[in-house]
Amino acid sequence: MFKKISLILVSFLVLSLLIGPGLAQRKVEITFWNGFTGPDGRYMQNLVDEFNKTYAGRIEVKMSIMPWGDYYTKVVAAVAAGKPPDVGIMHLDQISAYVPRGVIIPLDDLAAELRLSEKDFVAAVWRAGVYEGKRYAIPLDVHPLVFYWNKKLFREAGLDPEKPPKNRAEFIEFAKKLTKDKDGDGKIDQWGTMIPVGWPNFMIWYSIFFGNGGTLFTPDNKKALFNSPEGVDALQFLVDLVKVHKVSPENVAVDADVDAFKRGTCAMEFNGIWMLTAYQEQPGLEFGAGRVPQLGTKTLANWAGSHNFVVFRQRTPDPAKLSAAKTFIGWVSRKSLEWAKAGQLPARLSVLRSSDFKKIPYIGKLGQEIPPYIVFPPLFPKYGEATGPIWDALNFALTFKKDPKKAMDDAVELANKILASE
Amino acid sequence: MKRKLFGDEGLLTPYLYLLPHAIFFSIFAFYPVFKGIWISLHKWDVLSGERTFVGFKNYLDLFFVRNVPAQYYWQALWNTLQFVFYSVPFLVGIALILALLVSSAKKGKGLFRTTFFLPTAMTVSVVAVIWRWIFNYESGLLNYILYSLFKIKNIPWLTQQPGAWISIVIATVWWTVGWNMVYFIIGLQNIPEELYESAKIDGAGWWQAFRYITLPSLKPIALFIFVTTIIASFNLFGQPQLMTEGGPGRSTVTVMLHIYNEGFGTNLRMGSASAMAYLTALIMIIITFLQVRFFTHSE
Amino acid sequence: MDYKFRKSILNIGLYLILTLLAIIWFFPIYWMFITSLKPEHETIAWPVKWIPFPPVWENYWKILRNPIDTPVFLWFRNSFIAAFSYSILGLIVSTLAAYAFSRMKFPGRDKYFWFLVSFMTIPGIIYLIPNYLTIDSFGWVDDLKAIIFPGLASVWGIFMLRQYFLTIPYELDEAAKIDGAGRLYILFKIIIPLSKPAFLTLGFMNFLSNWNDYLWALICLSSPEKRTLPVGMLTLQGRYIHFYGTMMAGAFLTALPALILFVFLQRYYIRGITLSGFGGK
Repeated sequence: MFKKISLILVSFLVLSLLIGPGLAQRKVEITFWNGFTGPDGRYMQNLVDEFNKTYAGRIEVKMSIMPWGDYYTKVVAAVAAGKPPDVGIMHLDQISAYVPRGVIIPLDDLAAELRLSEKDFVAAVWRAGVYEGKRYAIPLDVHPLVFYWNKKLFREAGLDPEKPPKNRAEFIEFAKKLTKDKDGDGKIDQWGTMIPVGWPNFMIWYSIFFGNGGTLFTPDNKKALFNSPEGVDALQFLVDLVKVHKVSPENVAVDADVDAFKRGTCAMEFNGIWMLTAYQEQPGLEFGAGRVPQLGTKTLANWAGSHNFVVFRQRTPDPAKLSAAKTFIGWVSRKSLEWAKAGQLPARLSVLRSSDFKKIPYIGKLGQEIPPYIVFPPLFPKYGEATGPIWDALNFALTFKKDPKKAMDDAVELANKILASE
Repeated sequence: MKRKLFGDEGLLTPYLYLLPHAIFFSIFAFYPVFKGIWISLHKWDVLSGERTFVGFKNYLDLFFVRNVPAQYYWQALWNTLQFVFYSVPFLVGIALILALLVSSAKKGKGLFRTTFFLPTAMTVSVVAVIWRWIFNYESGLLNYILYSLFKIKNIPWLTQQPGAWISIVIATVWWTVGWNMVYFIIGLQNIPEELYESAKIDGAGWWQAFRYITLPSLKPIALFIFVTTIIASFNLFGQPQLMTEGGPGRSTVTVMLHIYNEGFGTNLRMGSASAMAYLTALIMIIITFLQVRFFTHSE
Repeated sequence: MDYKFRKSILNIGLYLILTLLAIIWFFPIYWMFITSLKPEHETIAWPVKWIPFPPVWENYWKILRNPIDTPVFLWFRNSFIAAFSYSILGLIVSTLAAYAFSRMKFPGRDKYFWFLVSFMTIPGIIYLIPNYLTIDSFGWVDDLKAIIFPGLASVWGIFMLRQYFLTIPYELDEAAKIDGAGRLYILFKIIIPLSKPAFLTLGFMNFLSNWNDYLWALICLSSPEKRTLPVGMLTLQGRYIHFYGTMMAGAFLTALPALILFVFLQRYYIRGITLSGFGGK
């Protein structure tokens, strides 16, 4: 009796072992890499979990997160080694750098399948995904530079906490009122603003530069133009905030502005929309968030980046994985609103204008205020490398190593060399 | 009788014992020296699979064309030399002082030695993260202490020179000085006690004993320490990568960091990165050679 | 009397200086630990709290309960597998070679030995690229094999073990040989048991150097779940750059295993340096 049962059990086991792999084979596993290391990562994970539940037994997405800083290095290395992930995220300004090197593949068919059209997207974002007539990226979101201000400090300085500065003159005036020596030791302990010597000062400069009406490169992308009066003025303004108006301390380290804003020793700060959740979590911090004031002389302009879905080139393409990857991208793309809750603006206009989106605190408002003024750069393969020298120039000028004109001239010289190299 | 090839006294037996190491050695230590030269003579892109033979172009570019990567390389080499110059005196000097102090202690020697040696057990990424936090501009411990004690406000350690070098040197000394200290302690132990006793009889004081016995006896170990410390400082990578990210304004981009960015960053220009590596290796070998000459000639 | 008095003053001074230095040296580790025990808003609060009471463990939970962003346990496992395999394989490979160099006579022995030793002077900087390409051609990129095997080319272990084996009297071998013992028997029953301290030293040194390796692991490992702790730290730094408490909790978790091992085994380390003959000869 016992023997019989065990025999049945064993044969059952063997049978299931034989059939098991066959059954499991129908399930496609795809890998998805991104750099959502902030709170946004958790929202993406929730989306992935929901997707896996919906497609249980058919597709399983495995997500891996690493900081953007080494994400690109790692993705490129993985593609080069023939072991790339299936799906990834790329920033808008990086796409053109990786297409010619064969890192990602065209997705025209997917865009057509999803019936995506330019009309439903922030125009600049939509166009950035196209390289030499082919679409390589499906936009996910837009993440602009945001102007943050501390409402409590505004009130204390006799300013209306609901009215952020609108232009350059007002910004300087407000900043001066907000710069104080509170304990009377002859040293300033509350600053109007903080202009860091590194990240994200480029985004601030960029917004002013385009607000001045500047252009980064000649139309053929052969020569850099940012040492124009528009470019030097933008930098001069930032340096003057520190040197002349003395409303920002000297040598603000990267992220020092974040700590100071959290602590309430910096009244007005520029940082990405991605900082929102961190500020909302800070106990006792009462702040407003809006578009970047018109610090340029001509118009409003606002820096923004954008996350895009891409599919990586495999040494031996697997059609099952490819179609699973496309299914996944299409599915997430439709969940734009969920993603917006992670602290980004959806790239789709229909979502951006929906009443559900408008209801999200802060982000709903930013989504109406900022997109009209977003300026995306002209994209070409060397864009990232050729704008690198600007970062150095800002650093040199804000640490008083070079005057703004000289810093920008040097940057252009270097950028031209980069543009001229093969 | 003819000897057997295998077995205990076989002709080939010793080589069999050497074989496992020889396999790894030839793949990962011998072959790469030549493979690296071969790569440096190419335009080598692993991404597109491009391998174009370009002769000595990658080397000539460094000297004559001065394109952007070359310009950055020379700057990085200069930065690295600066770091060697700033760090080595402290890494050796402080190690000697610590070794002398620890060796003079009668009780608790092991405890003190362990304390100074402990940081070497950590990985560079942890060391960098700790010191980055201590040197933090807004909320760092150091600026806090400076302010509470001396009312000095917010020194931008990591974003301005010489602050960035000072921070990196401090972090490096804290992390690795234990090694040199241990070498010195062993060197001190190996000095025969009789030398000191006979010096005492001759009426030599503490300073004379140190000057004429301790220092000369430490000379061989000091040579070793100098050579290895300079090489280690030349290889500086993790501290600037993680603490200053090469800044302010590329001033802490070291040769290692530049080669990493050139060869393994998103550029993947492995040919020119290899050329830079060989040039740097040559410079390091020359410096080491000069040191050995200097130490052995000043007898 | 006067002399003794002066001496004791000197002694007190010595201990004062040593204690002060030791406190300074230990402080960064202490600071890392207490920062990790503070709730986030307290980490940037002035005045600084020197003793966080009551300690808060939320930073540790944040990391440990977050297996997607920061799979610390996975990294720990990877680090352990790599370091452990490397140190064991390293011992085997080095022992066999050192045994041949110290106990056998064969043509080319000394030439080959010095040839190997001469490779110790080649700057490591030139190895990064060719070795990466070799690893790539083996398909080992993003694989722990890349962290384990290249290090086996090291000559250091052979050098050290050979020095040690040479101190074991040759008469012991002879006696065993007369009793009919073979080479392997002598190695396993005489040489290895007598070299325990040297093995512990080499094994621990290899373990620690592999455990702490950063640059090579950074180059070879891409996916987050394949990383070792030192490279994983990079993910933590990116993830928690504005969250000092959590970052320090991650740093502490990363550093802790090596620190504990080190406190207990560091005397072997020091013995290893003495053994290898670098101790001032």
